Amino acid sequence: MFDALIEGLLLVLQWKAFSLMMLGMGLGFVVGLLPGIGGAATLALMLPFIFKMSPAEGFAFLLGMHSVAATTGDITSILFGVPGEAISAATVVDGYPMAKKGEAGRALGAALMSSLIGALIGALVLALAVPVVRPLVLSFGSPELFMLAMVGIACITSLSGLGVRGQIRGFAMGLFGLLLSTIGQERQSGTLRFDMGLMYLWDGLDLVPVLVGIFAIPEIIDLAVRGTAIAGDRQPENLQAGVIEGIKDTFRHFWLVVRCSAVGVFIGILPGAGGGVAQWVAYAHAVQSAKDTKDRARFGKGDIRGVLGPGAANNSKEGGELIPTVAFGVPGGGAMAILLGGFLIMGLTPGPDMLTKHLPITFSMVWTLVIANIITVLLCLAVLNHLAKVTYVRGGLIIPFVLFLVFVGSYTANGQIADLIVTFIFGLLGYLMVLFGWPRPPFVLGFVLGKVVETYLFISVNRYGFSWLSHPVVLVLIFLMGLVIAYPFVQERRSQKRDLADAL
Amino acid sequence: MKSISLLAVLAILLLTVGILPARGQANFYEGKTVTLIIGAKGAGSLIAATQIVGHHLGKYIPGKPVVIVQEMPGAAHMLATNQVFNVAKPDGLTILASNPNVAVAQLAKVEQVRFDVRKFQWLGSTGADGVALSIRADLPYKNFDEIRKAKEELIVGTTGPGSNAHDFPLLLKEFTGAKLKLVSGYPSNGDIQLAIQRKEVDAWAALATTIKLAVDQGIVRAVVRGRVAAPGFESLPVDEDLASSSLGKALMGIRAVPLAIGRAFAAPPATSADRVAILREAFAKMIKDPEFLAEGKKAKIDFNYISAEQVLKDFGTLLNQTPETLKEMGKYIKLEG
Amino acid sequence: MRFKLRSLFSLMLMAVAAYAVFKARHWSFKASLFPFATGIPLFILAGTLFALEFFGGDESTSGPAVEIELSTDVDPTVARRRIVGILAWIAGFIVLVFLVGFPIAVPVFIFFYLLLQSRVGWLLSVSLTTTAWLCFYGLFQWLLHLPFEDGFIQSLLGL
Repeated sequence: MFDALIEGLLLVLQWKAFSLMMLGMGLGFVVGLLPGIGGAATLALMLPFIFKMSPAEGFAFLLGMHSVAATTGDITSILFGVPGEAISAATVVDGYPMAKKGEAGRALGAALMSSLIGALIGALVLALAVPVVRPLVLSFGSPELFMLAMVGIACITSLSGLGVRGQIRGFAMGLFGLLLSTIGQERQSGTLRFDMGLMYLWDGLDLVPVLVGIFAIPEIIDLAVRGTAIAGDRQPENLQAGVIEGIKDTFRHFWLVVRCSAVGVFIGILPGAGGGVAQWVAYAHAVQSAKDTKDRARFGKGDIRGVLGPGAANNSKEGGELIPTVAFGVPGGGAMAILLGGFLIMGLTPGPDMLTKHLPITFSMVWTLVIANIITVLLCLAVLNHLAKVTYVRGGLIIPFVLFLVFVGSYTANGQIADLIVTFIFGLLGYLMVLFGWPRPPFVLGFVLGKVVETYLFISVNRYGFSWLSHPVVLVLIFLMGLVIAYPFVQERRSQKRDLADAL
Repeated sequence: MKSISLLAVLAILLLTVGILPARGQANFYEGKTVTLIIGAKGAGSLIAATQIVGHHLGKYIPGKPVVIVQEMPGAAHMLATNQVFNVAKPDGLTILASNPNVAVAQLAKVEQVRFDVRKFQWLGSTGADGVALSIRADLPYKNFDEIRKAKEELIVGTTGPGSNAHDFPLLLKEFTGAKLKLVSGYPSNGDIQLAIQRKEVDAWAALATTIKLAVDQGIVRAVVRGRVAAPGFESLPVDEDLASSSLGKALMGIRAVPLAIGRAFAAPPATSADRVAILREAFAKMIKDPEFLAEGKKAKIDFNYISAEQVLKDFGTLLNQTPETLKEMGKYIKLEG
Repeated sequence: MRFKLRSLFSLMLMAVAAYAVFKARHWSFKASLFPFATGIPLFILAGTLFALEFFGGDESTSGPAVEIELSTDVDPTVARRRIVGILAWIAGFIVLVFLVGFPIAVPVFIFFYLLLQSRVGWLLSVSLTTTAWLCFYGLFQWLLHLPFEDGFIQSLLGL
């Protein structure tokens, strides 16, 4: 295995593969920055170019592009409050408020550094998992996947406000997301649900237009209302210092970053969950790491931990997602499905061969993730100052550009004009949600996980009756779900005790 | 001031329109982009095949235009089919990479179908594909006959009604007496394959090209096939031969025709005859191109030329069904989303 | 018992949930399970919240949601005007894309927004628009070959 590791490295360092990786990175950098245009859609567009490439070169190009997009997507989330990638939406919640407070540099530094650590951990897990990946993935059947999705949904309590009304709103939004995910054709019976006679809705609402709408539009509306620059009327901060502070923050909260990376990898490994989820679960975990309610209240207002968590997770999941994709040909997410198409074109079959005969190629993927992310972070650090200056430009100049990018991005996902209308409607909805205090993250969780939950529940019951409830892993996950649900209340008790102790 | 800004806008508009390709050039395709629209997203032999076509078709069209592939998923290829039939400009620059299964939707008179497969300008097909049911390699059954006689149910994982994965075993279950239990809902073929390895399901049906990849890895063994004999599957029993009633045979036949048509390409109905001729010729020449075939081999896809006339004929046969068959069809063949 | 605008949101959720359950009532068990399992609790929760907001006092004990908050330092009438304004611009952009397609809609929208809404000078508007248009053309059409549908007007005129 060690030889394959070295061979993989050498494959990437060959000048043709390396320059293709740099090319891919350049493209990924731009695509990640541009809101709406996703890594997945661009991967599909880049497939025709890999015909003439060897597998190592092809993967260096594609993965170089995709992994960089995950990092730069956070940049747009922080600077504009508009997710650069669907998987960077969680970074908006605390990153954008930081930019509004004039702390954009710090947020960017933290996002970059946590992305790097996340990517490295993801790549490490990918490399280490090679011998154990098959039994690991095989031990998760449909019942286990269902329970895991439920654990994801349980994170809603951590993402909702405390108190009766806050929790009710959070749950209601989760249910609303779940309900909307049922639009489309039900897989088992073929019944068309809520399609309103439109063929466009047969496959349900697509994630990209919904996510882009619900997160980008409210921020744009708010910017238009304020009439100022994103950072308000502040004087430009000392950006260099800000970025360095952000990097230091990453190491101050090192174990949180590592734990969130682990969350990202794990969710990436499980087929079906997808990247849309990893960032929110990591965010929920970051919220849970708050010591008590007062500490928790800082989330959503510009707490650095809210940037570190998702920043790490959405990069570490890259490594995780590659595991089922390479070892089984089961896509860990939307972009991976497209990558699988690339496999066929390059004459490779995902499966045991990739872990034995073609192991060096698998390791070349690992190295691509490592090298591409390191170079990206170094380059970004150099240009971050200039990027952050954008937050001091007048809102009126920024808005038309952001709008056009948001809508072009929404359109290119599926080539449907109807997607623009969906983006607008959900933009409006998102605005009302933020205005009236209804949280968006639970909605997203419900929406993304809805299909997963329904699918695997039905398969489990159809296949096993109800005996699956006693499968060992399922029991562990039920317990975990209970923990996750209860945690915010534990935090509340802890802060009450502390207040009591302080009063004495 | 206002008039100056209006002039500026006009200038910008003219600039934009002017850059749009000028008409009336001697060679129409020069400098243009041909778009292959496919109604699916992600991985799969259909998409891979279309990518390979996109890579080579341009060479054989005079003017050597750029050829790109646009993914337009939705309603099991119907969204894309509708789009190319009704909306796309019939100028020879848009081609549909179709999944002939949409003809079954037309046959079933699905409400939202706004196309007639017979009216498309077919260019030809890059080859038929078969369908096969496979079982996990370590199961004791040696052939389909043993499965039919067995007392235990065989659990088949499927994606959902309307797909090859679902309909092929469904018809086998109804009309050959095999005890198959269909567990549907798996998001993709890859997930079913994973479920097989987990021993969650025992059997799986899919396009022969897809099954072959798993057979080569030793994961499954194929036991019965559809009418089209894909390479490597010729010796397997055919489902139609095993059908216990003529209705079953007819229904299996309906499902077999789209597979026989295979990966067909079409231009919008109103495309002019000379452009269609150019495209048809380019298509036929491309399929003989050794580089094209080599890339197909690499992707483990078997390319064979099927002429436009044959494609049209097969669609005609498919759409020509007795009323009784149509009545029963609804019970067994639903549409996929 | 004051009528608060915000309680409309709860009402809307109740309406959506009710619609979903109503539509699902004739479906097969499998198809209707999830709509019922999510719609009914949603109706109950939204209803509870509506009652709390409508009849109860202002929120005192609940912590803020883990979410961003909109700015509150702008005068409400000005804010309202700006909200309507930006929504109109966005809607206008979408209509423009539908009518003439992205390649034309993008520069036209950016130019007019900069000129009329942001009150940017004529020269700056043109140069910014040209830059945006070059980026659009360069990245999306030339490099990525993204196909953009023609607008309604173009197909009408047979262009």
